[in-house]
Amino acid sequence: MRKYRDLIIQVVFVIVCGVCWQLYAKSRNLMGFPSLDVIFNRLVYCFTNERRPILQYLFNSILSILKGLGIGALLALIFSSLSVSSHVFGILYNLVVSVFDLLPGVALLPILMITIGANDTSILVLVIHSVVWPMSRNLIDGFRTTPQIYVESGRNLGLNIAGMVFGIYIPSSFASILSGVKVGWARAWRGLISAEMIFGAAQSAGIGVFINNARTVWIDYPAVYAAIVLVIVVGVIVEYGIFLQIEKATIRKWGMVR
Amino acid sequence: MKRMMRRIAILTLCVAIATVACCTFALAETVKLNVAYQGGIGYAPVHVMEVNKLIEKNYDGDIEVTFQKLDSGAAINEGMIGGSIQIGCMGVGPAVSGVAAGIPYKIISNLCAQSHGLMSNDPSIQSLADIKPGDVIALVNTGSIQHILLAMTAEKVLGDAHALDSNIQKMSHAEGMAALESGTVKLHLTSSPFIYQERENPAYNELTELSQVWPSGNTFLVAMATSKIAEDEALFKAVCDAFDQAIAYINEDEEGIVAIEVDYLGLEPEQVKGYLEQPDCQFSTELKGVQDMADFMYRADFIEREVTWDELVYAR
Repeated sequence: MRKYRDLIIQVVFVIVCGVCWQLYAKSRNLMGFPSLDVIFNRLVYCFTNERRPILQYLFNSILSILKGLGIGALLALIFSSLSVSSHVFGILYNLVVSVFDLLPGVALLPILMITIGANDTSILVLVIHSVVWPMSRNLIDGFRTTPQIYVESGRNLGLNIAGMVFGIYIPSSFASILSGVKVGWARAWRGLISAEMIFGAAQSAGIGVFINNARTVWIDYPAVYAAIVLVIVVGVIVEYGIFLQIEKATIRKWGMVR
Repeated sequence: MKRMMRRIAILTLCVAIATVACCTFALAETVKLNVAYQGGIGYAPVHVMEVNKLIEKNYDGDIEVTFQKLDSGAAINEGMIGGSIQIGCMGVGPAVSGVAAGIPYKIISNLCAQSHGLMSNDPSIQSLADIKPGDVIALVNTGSIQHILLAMTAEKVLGDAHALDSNIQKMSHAEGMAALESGTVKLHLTSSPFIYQERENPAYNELTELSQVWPSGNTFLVAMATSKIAEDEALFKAVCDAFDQAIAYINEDEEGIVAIEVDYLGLEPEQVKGYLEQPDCQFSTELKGVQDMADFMYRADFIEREVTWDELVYAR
């Protein structure tokens, strides 16, 4: 019953915001502040018209993010496992993570452009950079908080590093891992779109390039809003369609979180 | 008690907002003008207007003129749409796109012609036809005048205006210059003063096809004014006169303009003088090639409709 009420409050809030937007847009009729129906029509136009192939751009972005997220998550897993099994690696890696986690990917872009060059690899490196450090933080924290009794029993059974990681550390710290993936995804998605907007990758143009083109070439602000809406929709789908479902099937079911 | 407090708080907030709103209306009696420009010597007429207060001198009445430097034509377009900028100086490419997209502005004055060039660090690239799919061309932004010039050249040499679009990499002029030097890009399409520095490097070769489609003396930068200025006859005339006088000043008083530009560009006087003496660096009130560019942009699908001269330029 309470859940139902929360949902109603959220829906009412969204509707009120929408009505305010619509009233303001219709009353001022500004070029840079289109009304919701104009934005929606533009989105439909972008889906169907060859001149603004927004889905192609979105597809490119999702492809880069999947690649980056996959490699980044794998690296984070490897490094975090090593740092709980070796003390020296652990302290060194902790230092590296503290240094790089604070560095925004976009700040690295000029250096990447000069060293790696202006291509998709730079963007990939950037996405990996935004994923690997925050995820490592969560993974290591999760691994460290594994109850000692589980670790001891794993050792008693004679498990090797891989056995310890997959049999003991990962299941017991699944809540931290999941929040690490969430943080990594959010950082990567934001980093990717900023990078695309600033440098505009030559080979595979993503949704950030679309926003930049809508701004500089087409001077089409409804298309800018349409692209922003699409970015939000992707975020919501990932949050509620993927992460929430995984959460329900795992840590909620196991009673690790409420 | 708590509820009472909350009501009072909301009421106070409403009053505060209303007061601020009233104040903005009350202050609107002096004419306020915000002029936006970008970096480089091409914006010298705007610098002269600011230093010599030319708009204020030509306008008979209470006026407050502010100047703002932004980093792209797109940012200036956004300011003009949003109403925070009344006069914006930009490349002729974004200006034509803006008119076609329905931004309520037109060209009020020509500013200058400048030098442009497409430089390569690969001796095997002597023509646009030699550029292969993976060869990156750095230029400042999509939709910029440099992008349009590349497309115009591509149309003439390769028969397709968009043949090189997937080779373009967006970089600021300075970054593009560094990337050309380090070899991460093969080509760089840039304008003065960067092009002068690159031409001095013997390791580069210039693809001269570009200057054939956009000859020396053709308009590079223009000043756009919103329709609000055109509606106020006295203000419109003051702005026109200010641009005319600024351009005349640049062409007549070399020492004066060098002194002004040294401050704005942070360069040595000899360097500024060298730039001003380049044959392609021409300050004039006369527009050249603008309609050709607008026609090309429609033909090459940069804009979705044809733009006439009357839509582009205010009648003086």
